[in-house]
Amino acid sequence: MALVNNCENLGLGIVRSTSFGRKRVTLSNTVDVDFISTTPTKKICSQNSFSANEKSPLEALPKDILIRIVCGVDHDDLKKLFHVSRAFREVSLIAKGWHFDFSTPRKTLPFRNALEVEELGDTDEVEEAPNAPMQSKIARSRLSRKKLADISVALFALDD
Amino acid sequence: MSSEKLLTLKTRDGEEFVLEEAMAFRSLTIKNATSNYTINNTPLPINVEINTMIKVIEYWKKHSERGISEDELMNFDKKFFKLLHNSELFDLVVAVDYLADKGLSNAACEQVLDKITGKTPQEIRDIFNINNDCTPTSLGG
Repeated sequence: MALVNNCENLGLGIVRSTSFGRKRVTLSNTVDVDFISTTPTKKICSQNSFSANEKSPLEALPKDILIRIVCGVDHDDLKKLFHVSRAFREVSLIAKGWHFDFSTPRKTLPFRNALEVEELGDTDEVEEAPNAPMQSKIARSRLSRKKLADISVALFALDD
Repeated sequence: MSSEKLLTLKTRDGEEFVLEEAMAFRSLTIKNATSNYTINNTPLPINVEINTMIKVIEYWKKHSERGISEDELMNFDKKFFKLLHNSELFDLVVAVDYLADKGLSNAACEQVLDKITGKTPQEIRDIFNINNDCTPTSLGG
């Protein structure tokens, strides 16, 4: 593990062992390692800027602007952006975590039949994002009613 | 015409210019800056360079024109952005983000978006002159 860390700090990048990448996913909740097999997420989470030597003008854009732009692409393009460069990888992962995991941008579907399009209609809006994390809509309370009742009784008892 | 209030602005590279207040207030940044104190003809410094500001004003002027149709605006926008080099476009994106003009900001970002969509990673790299610093085996399936 230490060796892996050193490699990352030196910017050498991790080249093998998908398991390492998977373990690092807890560093940031926004990173979903299912999307990619292995990435030095520690490098991604660091706030250091990308290769400082020759930044293309696009990469020189402030990150928040880049993220905003990237949020506008669709899933296929997002995957491609991931492969463009480290800077884009970072941006696309953030965009994915903030935006794509919870909503799917509207996509023009190739339709065979005009009727099919009408049927699809609103389903575009609720189309599930690929690889979206499972979420339960209703937060399940960890406290059972019984436990709550016990606590409330105790409090009132003290006041008496 | 009527007493149009004028505002003097000073760019990052020291150029001063005068603009109608109403037009300048398309930028929330400028609007908020002026609401905090009385200007008295002191130029308001803005963190934009003159070349980029010229483009912004060109856009504002067109979009402030009375009686202009949606189609004409669309055509203008198309031409306007087509003439920009990538570096000019990015400068514009940054400047407009700073100036906080939502309309122009969205338009400019969309332009960048258009250049990205539907392209392969290598094509994107070529257009924007990006170095591929991803390690090959770190790329997943």
